[in-house]
Amino acid sequence: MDGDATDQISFVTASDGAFADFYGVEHDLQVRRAFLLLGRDALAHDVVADAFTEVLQRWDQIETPGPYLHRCVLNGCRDAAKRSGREELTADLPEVGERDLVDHMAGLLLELPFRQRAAVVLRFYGRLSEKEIAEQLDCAPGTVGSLIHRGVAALRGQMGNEEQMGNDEGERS
Amino acid sequence: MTSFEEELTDLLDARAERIDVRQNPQAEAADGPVLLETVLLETVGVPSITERGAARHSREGRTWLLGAAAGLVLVLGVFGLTRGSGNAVTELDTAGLPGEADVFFAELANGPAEFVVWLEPGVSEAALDRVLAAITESDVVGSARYITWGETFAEFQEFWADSPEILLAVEPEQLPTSFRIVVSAGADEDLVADLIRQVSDLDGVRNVAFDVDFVDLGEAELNVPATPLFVLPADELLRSPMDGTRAGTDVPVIEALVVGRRTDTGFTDMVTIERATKRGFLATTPIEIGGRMVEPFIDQDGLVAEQLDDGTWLRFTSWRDPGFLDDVVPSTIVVDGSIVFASGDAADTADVDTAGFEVLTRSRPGPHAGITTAVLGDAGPQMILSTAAVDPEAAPLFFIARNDGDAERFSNADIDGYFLRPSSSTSLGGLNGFTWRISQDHVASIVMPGSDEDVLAAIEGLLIVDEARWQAAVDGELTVETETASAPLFLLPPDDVSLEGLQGVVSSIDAWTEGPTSPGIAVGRETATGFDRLMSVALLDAREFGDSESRMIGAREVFIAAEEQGGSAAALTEDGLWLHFYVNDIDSELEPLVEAISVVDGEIVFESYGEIVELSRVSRLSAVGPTMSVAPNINSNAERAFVTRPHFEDIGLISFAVSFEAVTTVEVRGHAGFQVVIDDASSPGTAVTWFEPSGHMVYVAEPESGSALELAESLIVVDEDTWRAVMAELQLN
Repeated sequence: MDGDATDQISFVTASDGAFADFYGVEHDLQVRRAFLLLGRDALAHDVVADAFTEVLQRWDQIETPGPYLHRCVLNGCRDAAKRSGREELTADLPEVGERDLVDHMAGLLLELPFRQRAAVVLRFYGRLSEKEIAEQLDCAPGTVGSLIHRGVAALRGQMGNEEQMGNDEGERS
Repeated sequence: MTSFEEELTDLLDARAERIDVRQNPQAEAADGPVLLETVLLETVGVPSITERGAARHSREGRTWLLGAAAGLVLVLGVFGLTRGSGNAVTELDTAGLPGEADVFFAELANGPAEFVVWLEPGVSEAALDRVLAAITESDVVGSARYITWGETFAEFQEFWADSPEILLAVEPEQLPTSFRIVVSAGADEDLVADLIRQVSDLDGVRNVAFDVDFVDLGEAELNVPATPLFVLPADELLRSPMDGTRAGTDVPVIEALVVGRRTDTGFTDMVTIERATKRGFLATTPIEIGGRMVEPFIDQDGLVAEQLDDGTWLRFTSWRDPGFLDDVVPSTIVVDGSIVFASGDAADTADVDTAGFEVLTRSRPGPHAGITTAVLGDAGPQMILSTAAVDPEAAPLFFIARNDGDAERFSNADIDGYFLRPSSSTSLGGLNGFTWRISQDHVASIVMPGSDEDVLAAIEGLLIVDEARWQAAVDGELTVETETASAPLFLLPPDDVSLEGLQGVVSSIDAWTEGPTSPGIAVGRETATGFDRLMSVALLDAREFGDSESRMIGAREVFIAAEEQGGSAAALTEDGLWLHFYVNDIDSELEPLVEAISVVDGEIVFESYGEIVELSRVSRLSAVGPTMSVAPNINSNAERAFVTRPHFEDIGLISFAVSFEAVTTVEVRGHAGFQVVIDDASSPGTAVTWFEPSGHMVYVAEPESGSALELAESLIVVDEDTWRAVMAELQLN
């Protein structure tokens, strides 16, 4: 740490309660989003913790902490996904043959490129508009539509194919 | 949205539910801030105080760890360190530092070290800011955490978990908040010492400590028999009629002070001003005093309360004469959570007369800031008790009683170390009052009729009890008439009645619920002295004893209770209720009684036979609600006392009584009752029965030895928790 940086010390006390309230409102939702994007409990918690820390350090300077936090979480998830291979992200899921439909979808979701995955999660879990998603992904709204379209199509195709494969296997047996 | 997208939405929702958002096990029962603190500590790399303190959790050593409930408030963005010179320990100027500083600096030589800045309760925002500034401007502070009231309270509760009386007495607001400062390893020790000296001298700082130690909170404040103090009067007064008695207020008080005017002999025009967490009385119609809207207490002159913006209440209490509240209220304001009384020329309001008023005492902040008042008795021998927290460094306060120039009656006396101050009788409507020191932190006042000797005798008989006992006395003797008649009544024999003698028969201690409300009758033979062969029949919704053999009596199948449960029998009626028969002798009395009973339209119809007549009928069976009893062994010669609701309101004899040879009226515990002589071969003796004000009939029998009346008089009304605790202890033994 830089020894001349003492002026950056900031205090957030419980007496104002604002950050605690913010934390209480946002924490669980952000953990769940991160979990969908990363597939692993521990990673999700770590990313969200980092994001809150980042917000806290800039608490006095941020006018709208919500969007800032969301971007921090998203960026953290993207970085974590880069560091982790797909196999690592799906390590907590049951074996393929033992997955239920929810796990099956989760595995397919983790197959998607990160931006497609993020767009799908933000749209269908976060219920965000394309404009809001565009702000978080730092891209044009039209791009969001494309990301969602391709992501959904890939999921539909994979789920349909595997469902069909299952049916075929059932018929053969 | 397509059907697939809808399905995808559902699947995402389901998947998102599969993560435990509370990753940290410590947060299982906590909310966000705990998690956050952990997250931040882990993220920033600051050593957790919890981790550091874990090995030091020793109450004996007056050292304990900061509990799991640490809250938000971290601190720390980027921080800088100033490296020490390495030989600073030997050159360090520790003047003005607390005595444990050596240990702290020794620890600092090997790594980060922590000290605690305890703040005064109710510290102002401005003072807090100054402390914050000192910490933030220091180059040696690695991290700091502000510990709130709630967090401190949580730690306090953990620390004193085995002392419920202390926990009961403490409200979060009464505890000081603090900063926990972590000084990084290698910090310049001279600068650290300067910082400690600097913050120690700041307003609002109570003290600096090098460990979290509630001794600094005031060990003496905690070292009292019961906190807050509850006082019971002597037995003879407790058992006197107490109609219209008021219970103690026991409202947690954050700060209290007393204002008034000094006289040559004491004080006058006393007003207690408290900032309390509750108003302490029912809502009333607000009135205006000096431009302030306050709520008056309807039934007590001189008590008004004003709600502050932070939700607490400012209460003004004067003794008897409320007139000077008009002067005191407008002169009282709350600044930064602290009561400020502006007297005389300092008063902002020119139209009130506060000349001569001054703050006579101010409570010491802490667990005993509250004023607990126990008021017992408006009738009979009247006794008003009040305990109040005081500043032990100030002179004992003549708290309640006024002294209006009756100097010759004002003198001091010392009784067993108590500082006793008789008050003026004239100012108290002929009552006699004394105020004396009852513990280091409490004064008590007593106001009652009678001579000085009577009052002193009463004081000698006072008992300091815990809250449960005090409340039990109030519930059992004073306020029961306003409570539901079906409330359980719990009684225990006094400590000097050997509980050991009851061992082994505890299984017969019973708890049962009687009901439903339905008609019941008592039958028997009238004699010159009372009743003989008393029996009863009731309609209940269940058979109240276990499986038993049955026999046919007429057309009815009648189930007979086990012998040890007495002469009970039950028969199912056509409408699904149970007829309960209580007889003295199953073999000889049950059959004729069963045959004499029929049920018509839900009513018991009794046909007299021989000399057995219907003695009483109630429109409803009043036996509802659970009752608890001590009935060690009905077949032994041990003392037995059990409690039940009366089945029959009109006569004072109970359904399961054995035959009585003689019945006389007697006063039991201040209530009308009966004493009976039990003429029963298995357990001869005497018994008394009476109604408690709660509506419960109590029956106490003590065969052969001793006196049932004495046993009845000695019974102690306790709360359910106490009762169960004693029962559990007996069963363990």
